Amino acid sequence: MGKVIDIEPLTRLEGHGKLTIKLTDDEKVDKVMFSITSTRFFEKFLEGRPMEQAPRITPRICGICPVPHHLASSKAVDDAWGLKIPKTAEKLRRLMINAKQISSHALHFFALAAPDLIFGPTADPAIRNVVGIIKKKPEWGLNALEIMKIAQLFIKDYAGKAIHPMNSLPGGVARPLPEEIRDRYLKKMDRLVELTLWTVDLAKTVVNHYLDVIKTLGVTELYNVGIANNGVHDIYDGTIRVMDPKGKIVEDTKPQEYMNFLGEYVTSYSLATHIFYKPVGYPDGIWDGGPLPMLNVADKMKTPIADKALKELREIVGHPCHMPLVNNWARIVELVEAVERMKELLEDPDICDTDVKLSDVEPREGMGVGCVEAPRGLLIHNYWSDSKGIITKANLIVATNNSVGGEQKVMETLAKQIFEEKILEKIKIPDPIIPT
Amino acid sequence: MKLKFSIISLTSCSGCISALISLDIFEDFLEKVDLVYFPFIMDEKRIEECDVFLIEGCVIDDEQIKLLKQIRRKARKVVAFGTCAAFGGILNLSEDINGEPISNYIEIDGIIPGCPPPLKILGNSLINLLENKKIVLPEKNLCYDCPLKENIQKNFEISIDELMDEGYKTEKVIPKCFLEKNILCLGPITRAGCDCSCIKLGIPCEGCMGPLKQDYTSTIINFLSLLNLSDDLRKYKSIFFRFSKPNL
Ligand code: SF4
Ligand code: SF4
Ligand code: SF4
Repeated sequence: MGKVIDIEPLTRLEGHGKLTIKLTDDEKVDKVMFSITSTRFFEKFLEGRPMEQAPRITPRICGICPVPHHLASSKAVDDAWGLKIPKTAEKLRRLMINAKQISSHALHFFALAAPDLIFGPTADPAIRNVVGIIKKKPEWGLNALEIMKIAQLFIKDYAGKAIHPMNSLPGGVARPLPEEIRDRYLKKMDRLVELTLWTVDLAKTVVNHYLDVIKTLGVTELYNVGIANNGVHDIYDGTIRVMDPKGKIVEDTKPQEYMNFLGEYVTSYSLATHIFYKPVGYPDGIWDGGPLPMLNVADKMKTPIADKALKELREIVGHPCHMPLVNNWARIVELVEAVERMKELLEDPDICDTDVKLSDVEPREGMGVGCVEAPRGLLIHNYWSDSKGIITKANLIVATNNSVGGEQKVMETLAKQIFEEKILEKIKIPDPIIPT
Repeated sequence: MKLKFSIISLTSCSGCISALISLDIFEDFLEKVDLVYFPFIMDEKRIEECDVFLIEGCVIDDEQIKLLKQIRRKARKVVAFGTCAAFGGILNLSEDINGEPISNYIEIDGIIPGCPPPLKILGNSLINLLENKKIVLPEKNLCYDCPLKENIQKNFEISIDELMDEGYKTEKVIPKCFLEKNILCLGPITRAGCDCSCIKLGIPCEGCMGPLKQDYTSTIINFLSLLNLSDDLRKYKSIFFRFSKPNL
């Protein structure tokens, strides 16, 4: 019997995970198992409920990305009932998802990823966290919290609550954007852009500092998945794109047809299924989703500063890029786009238009798919309803499903690098950016 | 001496913790306390002695019960943080698992309700805890605060501009209590404190603040007996208590 290493709880992870690494007697990596709790309870208890309730129930799947669930759910109902929502409603939903993208990405980068990168992975765990950043480099921590709060408060002021909002509903959104709120937040946008540009610089500094480590650790060639709108990076709507490990786009298909190319694999040790590219099969077709895959599948970003940031990223790490640690940088590129989009949308002359909801929404029989990009990857809600609009079946493919298979592959690579190749003894980990 | 705080999640969506981090007084809070255990943002894996333990999420298995007992021994005060921890929360919709409030297993010293708790309630509760006081919550139901309640008896036009209603698109309608319009609203059996967030968007309350009392079964029975429910609605059991599980 070889050694079994259990890491539980995994800290700083949005969700409750457990990592098990099995080693053989001669310290070879036998198996890596990464288990995460699932959403199947939600699928089950949605059944038998009026479908219009789904957008209010499903955000509770994840308090880090409630808006993507709220919107994927609303879109699935729209689709099932054949509702074409007013233009302004779509813009307001986009405003919500971009604001949420800002706060989630800022939170993830600063609270979950940056502490390792800034203090160095070997720093004392007691300070290697966002609290430590605030203490050692107050302006960094405080800037991050400021970014997060502006976006978070916008959602609260406009959509009722920042976490688990209820503003989006079948046929549009409940509330037009009051001019007063628009004006208030327009005033904050310059500050937000400034803070974000500062974040880009910080990310670049961190990446350059650790470039050798980043180019080595965990690099695993996988299929990638994400949404693009005519090839352009888009988190609210578009086609599902799949890229093969060499960088070729092999799928660019309407979300409604996801079942044709998306396979779900049930593992014995994790409640979350692993998603793979069906034409290739499991495990070779395992794909990865999230910020870096989103950038990998896109031809370009939607907004100018973000597009420039994408080009810079590609110059340094190449395209396609399979270095998992680059996700942190990709997150910042997406953050920039979200900030620029939020500003554009607030400046849109029609954004306060009051035609935001269809008035003739009738429950009926149907099947609908709602797909958006959540901060951690592709998110699909798929519901079926009977003639009274009652859900008869629900299928949820959440970001975790789309990335957990890929993450596990990365963990395997890492475990091999660490235990077999003893890579940590060979590569030089640079001194931390902030000495502890 | 700074108070020692610990924060943990059981079965949860992490929404309460996210709300805490985005609180305007979060930096102050970090300054004022000694955070000893908070796996969401820290790597510390051991549970230590502390003054206040905030627990997010409901209880679904034995491991968690063991953990709760351990926490109870180590913490001077244990607070149910959010509706899941206080009343079971959203998983009460499930018939497959039983998401229970933590108070089913250990004695608690207070709750901070809401899904997630409204920022004002959360901020005030933290201040109370920091000052070693009891958490003070609104002891009224949502209708008490509701701008629509006036219309239940009287019938004059109140112009509340922030209020939307199904008909707002075509004509100016008089905002009316949802119950009067035959739309289910859980305001009467829900604790006030959220600033009527849903109502102000033109959406009825779904009860996410949870009930006023820990023992709320009779309140729900009374409420249900007042409603003349359509047969269709009767089928969807837990729409009336989406966040709590009465003993019906
Ligand atoms: S109370 Fe609501 S926000 Fe808090 S953990 Fe439960 S579901 Fe999430
Ligand atoms: S039932 Fe609902 S709408 Fe009516 S007064 Fe109470 S909270 Fe307001
Ligand atoms: S109105 Fe009801 S459902 Fe909405 S936030 Fe308040 S308590 Fe929760």
